Amino acid sequence: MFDWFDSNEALIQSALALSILGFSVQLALRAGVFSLAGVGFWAIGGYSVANLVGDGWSTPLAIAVTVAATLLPALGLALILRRLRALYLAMATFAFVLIVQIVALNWDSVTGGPVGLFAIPVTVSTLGLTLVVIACAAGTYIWERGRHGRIMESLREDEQLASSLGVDVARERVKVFVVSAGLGTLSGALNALMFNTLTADQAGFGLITTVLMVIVLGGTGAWWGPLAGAFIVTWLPEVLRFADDYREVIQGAIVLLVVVYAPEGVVGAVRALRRLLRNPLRKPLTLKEAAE
Amino acid sequence: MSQHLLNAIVLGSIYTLFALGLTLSWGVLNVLNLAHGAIFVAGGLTAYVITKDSALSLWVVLPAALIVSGLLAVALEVVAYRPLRKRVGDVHAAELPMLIASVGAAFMLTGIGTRITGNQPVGIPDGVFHVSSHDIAGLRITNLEILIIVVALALSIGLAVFVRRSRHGRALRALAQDPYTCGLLGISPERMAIATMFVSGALAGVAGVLLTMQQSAIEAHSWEPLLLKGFAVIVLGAVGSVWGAIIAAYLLAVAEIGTVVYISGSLRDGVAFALILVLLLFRPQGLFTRTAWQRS
Repeated sequence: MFDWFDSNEALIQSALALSILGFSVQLALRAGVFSLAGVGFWAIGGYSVANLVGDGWSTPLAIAVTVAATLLPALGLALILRRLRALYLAMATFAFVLIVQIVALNWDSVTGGPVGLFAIPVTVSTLGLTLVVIACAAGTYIWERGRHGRIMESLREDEQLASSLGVDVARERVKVFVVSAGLGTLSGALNALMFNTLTADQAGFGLITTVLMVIVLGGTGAWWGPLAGAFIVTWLPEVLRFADDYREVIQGAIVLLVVVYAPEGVVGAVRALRRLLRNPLRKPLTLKEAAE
Repeated sequence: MSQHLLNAIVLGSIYTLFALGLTLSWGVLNVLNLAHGAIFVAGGLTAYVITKDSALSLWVVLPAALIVSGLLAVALEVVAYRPLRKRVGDVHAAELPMLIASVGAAFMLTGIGTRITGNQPVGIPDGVFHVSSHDIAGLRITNLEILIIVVALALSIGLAVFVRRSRHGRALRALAQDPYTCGLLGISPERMAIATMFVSGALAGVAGVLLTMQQSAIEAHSWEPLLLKGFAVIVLGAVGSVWGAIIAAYLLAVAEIGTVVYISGSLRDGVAFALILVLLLFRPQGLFTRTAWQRS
């Protein structure tokens, strides 16, 4: 067990950091907010803590200040985009991610330009990271059980109905957007302080694909979806090592096929399995039936 | 000054061809096709692959790229979008899964593109199209630039007239309004969806070949900044509006060249994003729309 842990520590770390970004995007999607902005804030968080810690700040302080400080621009962006729905919001936040990447490529003094930042002090331990992930998972679990969970559900299913039930739709959407951005920042910050390099390439379309893969493979139905998804996505390249040069192609194909043919991801598969075990005489449910 | 304007017109022509497909698939099918950029690159790479060993004329290369890109878009419709629409039922509820599927497709196509190019910029040999420079009224213009402008205007205006005037164009607009009633009236939404995706991909493929020749190189990742421009054109010109997209593409190109010439080259890609934000703040329905915006 410990041997396995030692030899796979880097993978475990990236899976954990990725799962926080997964929580960020999953939270938004579950409330019906098509926001990919978390990925842009991932980069902002990473560059910010890398510079602060490089200037001699203590790690927890740097992370806390970064997350707190990005909430303000996140709120600004949320207010600008508050009237947008569905594809318009997806497009605008996608554009935001691309523009963050372009800024990162050009702002040499902070981001190291196209070369990126190297020798960022590695100050986050696996234990610390695990605690943060547990906190995020617990937060999501509590959030989805309580009043907020029901509000989010109602926002996703039918905004008009939600507002007729007294939910302040605009306000809740802004709230979700900002929390999602904060989680994105946190994920990027932890990631940068764990792997000691950060380049602009990491934060663009590739990361959007990765996080969507986390969401799709994990499933959006439950709090542990992003966690499961992040571990699958992190180990996938190892499993696909035989495919070598065609790894990207296969990963893209997996995203496409899962979202079309098995949309509930691992969460759906586990639920179907659980029903099967509980009631073995019934014929197995398809994923679609399990979802209903 | 007028030389800059000419450059802007050439750039705007490429943007027009690229953005038309994007706005068409969104306007008619409610698909934000993030694989559109990768399909655009596929056009350029098709040209690269077929001209690598054999000398072909541009009049063979251009249709070949058009067909390959168009078929890729159709494949995406058949493999992903149609099953999703069928399973989810509601058009708007299918938007997110379709978007994610298109991201997967983009990643896949970019991966294939990287294999084909060996992760290097590749070009189309000079023999395909001899570029020569002309002086017209004191302006320097190459025959390639003339070709780009003519092709873009011909295809885009042709499409605009087709959508507005022809029987199929009317069916297309009906589909955008209400797929269910379309079915009742004997228009096959499935066939129209395939036709729409083909046209969308084909336009991107043509743009891909033309841009590859204009910049004399293309990479598997070349589409990322272009997608941002496509978004700006859509927001500026209103979703689904062909005329809006044409005008918006040229406006964006003028704004961009203006920024590069008078302010700074590094702000070039920022212009598109700034336009998106300002428009969304003050006129989210786009500049050229007459109807109320409902979906955003």
